[in-house]
Amino acid sequence: MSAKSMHMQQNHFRMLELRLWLLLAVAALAVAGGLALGLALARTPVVQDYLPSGPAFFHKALVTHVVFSFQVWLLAMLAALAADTARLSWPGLAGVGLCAGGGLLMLAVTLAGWGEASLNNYVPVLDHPLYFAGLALVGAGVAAALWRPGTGLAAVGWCYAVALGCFALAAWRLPADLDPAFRLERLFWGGGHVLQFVNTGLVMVAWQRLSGHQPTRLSRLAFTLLAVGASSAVVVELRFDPQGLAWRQAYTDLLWFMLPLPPLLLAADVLVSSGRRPDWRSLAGGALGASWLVFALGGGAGFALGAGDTRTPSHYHAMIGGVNVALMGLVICVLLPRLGRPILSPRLPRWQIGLYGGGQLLHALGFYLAGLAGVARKTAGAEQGLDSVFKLVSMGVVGLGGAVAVLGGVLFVGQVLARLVRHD
Amino acid sequence: MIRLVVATLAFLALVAWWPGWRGPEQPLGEAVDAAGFVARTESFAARYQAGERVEPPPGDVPLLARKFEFWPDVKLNPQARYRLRVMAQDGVHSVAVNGTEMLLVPGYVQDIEVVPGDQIELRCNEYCGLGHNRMRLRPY
Repeated sequence: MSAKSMHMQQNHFRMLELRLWLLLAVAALAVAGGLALGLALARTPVVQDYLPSGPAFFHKALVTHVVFSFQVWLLAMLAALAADTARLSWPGLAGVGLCAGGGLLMLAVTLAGWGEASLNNYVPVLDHPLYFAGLALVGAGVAAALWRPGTGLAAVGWCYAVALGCFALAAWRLPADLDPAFRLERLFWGGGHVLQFVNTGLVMVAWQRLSGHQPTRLSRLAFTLLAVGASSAVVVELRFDPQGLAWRQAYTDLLWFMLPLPPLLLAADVLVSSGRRPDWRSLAGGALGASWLVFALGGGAGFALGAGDTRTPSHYHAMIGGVNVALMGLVICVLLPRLGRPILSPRLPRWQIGLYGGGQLLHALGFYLAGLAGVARKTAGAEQGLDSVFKLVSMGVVGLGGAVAVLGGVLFVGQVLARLVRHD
Repeated sequence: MIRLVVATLAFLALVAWWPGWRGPEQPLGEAVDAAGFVARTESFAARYQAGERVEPPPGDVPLLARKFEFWPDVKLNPQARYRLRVMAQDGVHSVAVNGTEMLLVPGYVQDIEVVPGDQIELRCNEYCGLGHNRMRLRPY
């Protein structure tokens, strides 16, 4: 085989892998959307009795909705970015298979109604061995895609390794006979915090590629600091007992002190040291600016959280919103054209990103105001105690923003899936 | 090689800057006989029951943290001084009051001082199950 045909074959497999990861990522969003519909049905009288596990389906669907829209979508996008430049395709192709298998397993457990739902932080789960097996397959699949030569994602891959190490260490150090809710919370607390370094690394890479920006000394420093920050989890693990309060608070502190600087440095680098400023009127530039705005507001809110109120979901919805706006822009402006499947009219994507970003911003703002007034997080109906006009209006803004963001999300899934599955 | 040196230096600088790892492990409180404390709390609640709530006199007030409530549902006088003595009954919970958090574990009692003018609310801050966010007590 000549060098040219080898290169063509390599490129063919790379594009196949990229397309499969994108399909998996967008399908995860579609499944999460379907489960969100299940959440509504689980609260509908009469209909709820026909669901796989009756009204209890609400919490089970909520768990898998979060896992698919947060973990599977983001990690599959990270793997897609790795596939875009990797030199070897077979680990990534094996990884996408593992990840799809894991996702299907978790979905099957959810629909069968197996396992108790646990709404612990970061990675909520259904407490069933097959659900854990599904999570492990997803984790292994992403590792296979990340830990190979030529991805250009060494720092993010390192953060991911530290996160998996924290999960494993917690599983080993926490006794099996602890109260299940407490054990699951602590099992996913440390690694869940380190996964935020992975997500921050993901959005930093997305910003770089959206702006067409080449790595510089400053951007390398930003990624080095990110990896170094995640590595500090080792100090927490060596120093504290995972059942204690200091261990839990040290991880919160870790995000406060270690996470803000790397994305700020990277953004500064994209703005000033590239010599080629983003074109803000273009779709890619607009997505980059919108991502910065939503991400920065969410990050700022993270420094002014309450205890157990809706300011916490305000913070993370805005952070996730900022990451997602960048990823949506990246898929539409960079990855689909790379696959030779561009979206031809820029009008719909512009609306879509605007609706999603604006909706998330409203959603987060409503949550923040409601939290200031004392509305507790993760509650619904009478439990919320909406006993003032301010609380009612704030939660109304949450609902309105959420509906607008869902519309933007549905448009994204629809247009990207259509481009990915169509035979050209 | 240069990147490794930079990373090591950055690691040392960041760890020195970050206070999270330097704090001491929080004490769990006073060790007690868990069953005895539960019995004392039940008899205290029965003694000061006033309608649906419990209205204790100033002084020590025993409380149990359990899924998903702080019990008994006490009503405090905002002008009086109390010492709330809280123990977890069925697993690990926590309580955050005035910016300070305490872990609540069966067999250990944590004390919360309430002075006249305080408007505290007890809220569980350690995920303890699906009703976790309902677990709070407004004693005024």
